Amino acid sequence: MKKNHLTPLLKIKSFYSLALLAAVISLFVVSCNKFSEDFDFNKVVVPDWNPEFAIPMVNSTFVLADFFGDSGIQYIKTNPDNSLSLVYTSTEMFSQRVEDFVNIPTQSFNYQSPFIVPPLPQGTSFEVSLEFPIQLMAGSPDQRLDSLILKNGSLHIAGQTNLNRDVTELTVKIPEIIHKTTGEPLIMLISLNNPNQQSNVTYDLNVPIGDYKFIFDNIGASTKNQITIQCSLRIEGDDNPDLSPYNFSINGSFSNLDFKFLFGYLGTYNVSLSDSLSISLFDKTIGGGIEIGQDAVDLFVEIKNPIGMTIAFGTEYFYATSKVNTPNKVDINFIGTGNQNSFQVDGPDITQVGEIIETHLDFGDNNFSEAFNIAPENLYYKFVGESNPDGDSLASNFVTDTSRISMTVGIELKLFTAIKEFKIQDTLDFTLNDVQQIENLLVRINATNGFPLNANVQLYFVNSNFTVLDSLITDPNLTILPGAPVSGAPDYRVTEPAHKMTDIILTSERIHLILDAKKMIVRAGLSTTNEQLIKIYSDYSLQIQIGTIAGIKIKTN
Amino acid sequence: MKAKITRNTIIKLIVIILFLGIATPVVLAQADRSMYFLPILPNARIVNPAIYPQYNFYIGVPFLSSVKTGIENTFIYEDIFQKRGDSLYLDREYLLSNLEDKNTVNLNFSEEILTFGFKARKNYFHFRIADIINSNVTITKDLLRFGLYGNGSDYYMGKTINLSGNAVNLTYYREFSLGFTRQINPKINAGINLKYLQGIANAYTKNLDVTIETDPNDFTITAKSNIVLHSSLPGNDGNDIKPLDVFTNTGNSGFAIDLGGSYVIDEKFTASASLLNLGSINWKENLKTYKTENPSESFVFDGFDLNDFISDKEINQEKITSILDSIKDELGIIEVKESYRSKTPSTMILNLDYNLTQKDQFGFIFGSQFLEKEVWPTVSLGYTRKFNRNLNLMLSYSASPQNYFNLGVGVAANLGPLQFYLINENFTAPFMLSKASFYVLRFGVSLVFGKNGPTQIKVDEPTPEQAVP
Repeated sequence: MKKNHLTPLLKIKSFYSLALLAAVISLFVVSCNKFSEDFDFNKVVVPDWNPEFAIPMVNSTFVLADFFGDSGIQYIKTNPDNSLSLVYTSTEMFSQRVEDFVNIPTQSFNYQSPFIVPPLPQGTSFEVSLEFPIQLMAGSPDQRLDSLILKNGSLHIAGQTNLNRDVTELTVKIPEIIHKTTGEPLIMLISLNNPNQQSNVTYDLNVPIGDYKFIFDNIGASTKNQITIQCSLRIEGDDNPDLSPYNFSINGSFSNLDFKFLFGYLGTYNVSLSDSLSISLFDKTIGGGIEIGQDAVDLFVEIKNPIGMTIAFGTEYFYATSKVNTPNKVDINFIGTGNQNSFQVDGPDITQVGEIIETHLDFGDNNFSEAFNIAPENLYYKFVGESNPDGDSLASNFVTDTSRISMTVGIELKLFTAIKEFKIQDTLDFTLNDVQQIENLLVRINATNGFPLNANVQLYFVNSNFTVLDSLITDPNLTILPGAPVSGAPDYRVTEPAHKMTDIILTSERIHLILDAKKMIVRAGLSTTNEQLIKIYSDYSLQIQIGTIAGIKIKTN
Repeated sequence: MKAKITRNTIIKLIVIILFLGIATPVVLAQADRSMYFLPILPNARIVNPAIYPQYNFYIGVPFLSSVKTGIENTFIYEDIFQKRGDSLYLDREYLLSNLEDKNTVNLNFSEEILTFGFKARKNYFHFRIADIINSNVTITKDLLRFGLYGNGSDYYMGKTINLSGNAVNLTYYREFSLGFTRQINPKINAGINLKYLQGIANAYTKNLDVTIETDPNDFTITAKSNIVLHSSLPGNDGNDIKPLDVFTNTGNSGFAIDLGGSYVIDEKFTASASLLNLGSINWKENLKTYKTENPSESFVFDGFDLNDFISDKEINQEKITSILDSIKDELGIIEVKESYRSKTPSTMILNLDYNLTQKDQFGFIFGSQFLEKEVWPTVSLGYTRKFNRNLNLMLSYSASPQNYFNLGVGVAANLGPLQFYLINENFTAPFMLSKASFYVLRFGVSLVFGKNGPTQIKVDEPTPEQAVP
């Protein structure tokens, strides 16, 4: 009975238990649908606001040297009044080496002479001396060789005699050819023994003379550049028949005479040096030139001369060229209007062998002001030099085999100029990535300009076909860099820096256009403040601060 | 007799007043509490080591004996998105108006790899290995406003922005626990867990104080920072991360302790208390610390000098790639290797159970988790129905200042020796996800053997002398 009474209750409890369990399990099933419904982020509406982050991007202070990180400019020179000059210098150009244009040709000689020998009984001897002078020639007839120090060369001698003695010794001595180390003259001993009574006895030998030097006595002798071959025949007496008078001949040559040093008067030789000089200041010019102040350009030539001769230089050509401005070519005159370009440089004298004489020549009286009106990109020039221009044959020259003349050409441009509508342009590769998150961009440029130069800058963003997609500056008259005001003559100095804040706003549409750009064309128009004459001083600087405020795009899916 | 009656009454009053007094409105949600309300679970000793399991022996199914995932925030989905018709609007003013000055996100995950326990007379011994991941992030309203408006907005331009008060504490560690529970007398249980902690990964901000001011003319940023961001992460040394780096990394060790006690006040009331995870981990490997070199110094960042990035008209790519380092350097933040110690997020739980009948039990819990600079309190009410010795069902209610209506449900059942349980700490959340600030789900499967009677020690009826007049 009790059991029957409890059974419905247990059933009810079991029902509740199962119901509760089912409810718990249902919660998790239902929750899945609810989750996807509540958290459908595709339903999020794009907000009408963007967080804006301000970031200082650039804060740079530039001095003049920062604009010319170019090897074409040797240096920026600070003048005593602290004004600045740009100095452009060419690479050092060299002439030929002396051994390439001063040559000593092969010198030949051929002599013969009869001689008498008295009867020579056995046990006696007799000596015959013969002298043969030789004049060496190097170049022009007026050359005077005082000494010739060889590094290479050979002497060939040959000859014969009909002397019919059993024992004869020939000694050939050239007193002007002296061994560089021992100081002994060149002597050759040759046997002319004729025991078989042949009709002629011959001789032939080569002697290297690279270790010798020629010392010429041009003071006492009547003939220049002369040496003497001294032949001495020592004849031993014998019972052979006396056939005197006899003949003696000698011929030969000095060949392959390469000198280390050559002293004397060398006459006239010509050298030439040609090159060009790039004026990088005008590399990017697309129009306009500059007006330079009085005496603002100085041409200088630096010559290093190790050759012991005076050289007179002239120019075969010297001109400036511009691709964009006419006339495209301006001849440069640096000696004064109406005069031929010429100058003379000295070499080391006889006491300065091995030294280099450096000559710096400034040519202020030039027509560069005319040339700079066309903003030349390059200067082209060829200098031709001539040795011993005075023709003084008593002068003492010297040369060494490898010495050569070098020359550097430069111009010093004092930054004393007036600029009007001078335009430059450059094209740069351009890729802009990772800006998809930017909704809008404000670029703020704060320029504090200590230079008396106005700058209008425009950036064109172009595709690979150079079709302009957008430009950075929408106002064509906007001057980003106003030039600082300038005082008058003679200093033409900035009185206070000019400041300007410029905001450039890029909308998302413009940013999308720029994203397709492949190149960026930078075009700038420069002019001096009020287009007047100005000078650039060493304490001028330009401070550029670029900050951006980027509106960040909120993505909703 | 009078004295005894007075003592019992006082104890009851003290316990009740204590709970009511502590349960102030500043409570927040707290995980794990509902395990108190399923007394047949041996796993319940996670929340109080004094809980004496009802079985002679239990062993968890490896990796499935207790899996928990949970999130607790101080804000809800609807605080962020505003529903208008069928659309969701993200309005920054609406969002900011709904947030507290300090907002916290607490994510945690734990998984028992292995656990077992056995009875030895009045003692119970336990062993447990578990992986635990805790993520506590505090974000100030000022930081969010800064992110939503940006320093370039009119709101901030020219003003000093204080971004202090933010914090990050991410910890992944493995716990090896030896536990002991003792029935001291029929009314009092006590328990302890001793834990060796193997630190695997950690990122921890000791200080994260930054002030920023942006110049309205040139956008120059003046910043002052006091940042100490410690991290010990596999891969910090620049090498590729390998699985063994996670499992065999024993260089970061620590210790923690759980303490618990319970007291049966009478047949109706039982009080218990526990202090959990009192300890710390010393991080000594895979270290990287970012810190402000000179916290008293202001740093001014006014842009990069182009001359540093351009040489011979070419942009120096190496310089560009190191731009972030440059910004870091500009702000005076250096990178060093520095060992450090992080505290484990300790918890205090106070519990009072009331047995309405032998099968109907009500419980009250106050819990508080103590983080580095934050306290996370919570209060819960629970009802447990013990249908029989093998089935417990519980309903709970939890309150927090952000959400006063969090209902939990849980079930624990024995099918022979197989015991499973499922606890959903906020079962209304799936229906109202957009209003839920916390959600905890825990489940597990174990094998239990040898039921030894209820943990609730039945107290003898008071003698007439003990009765209150």
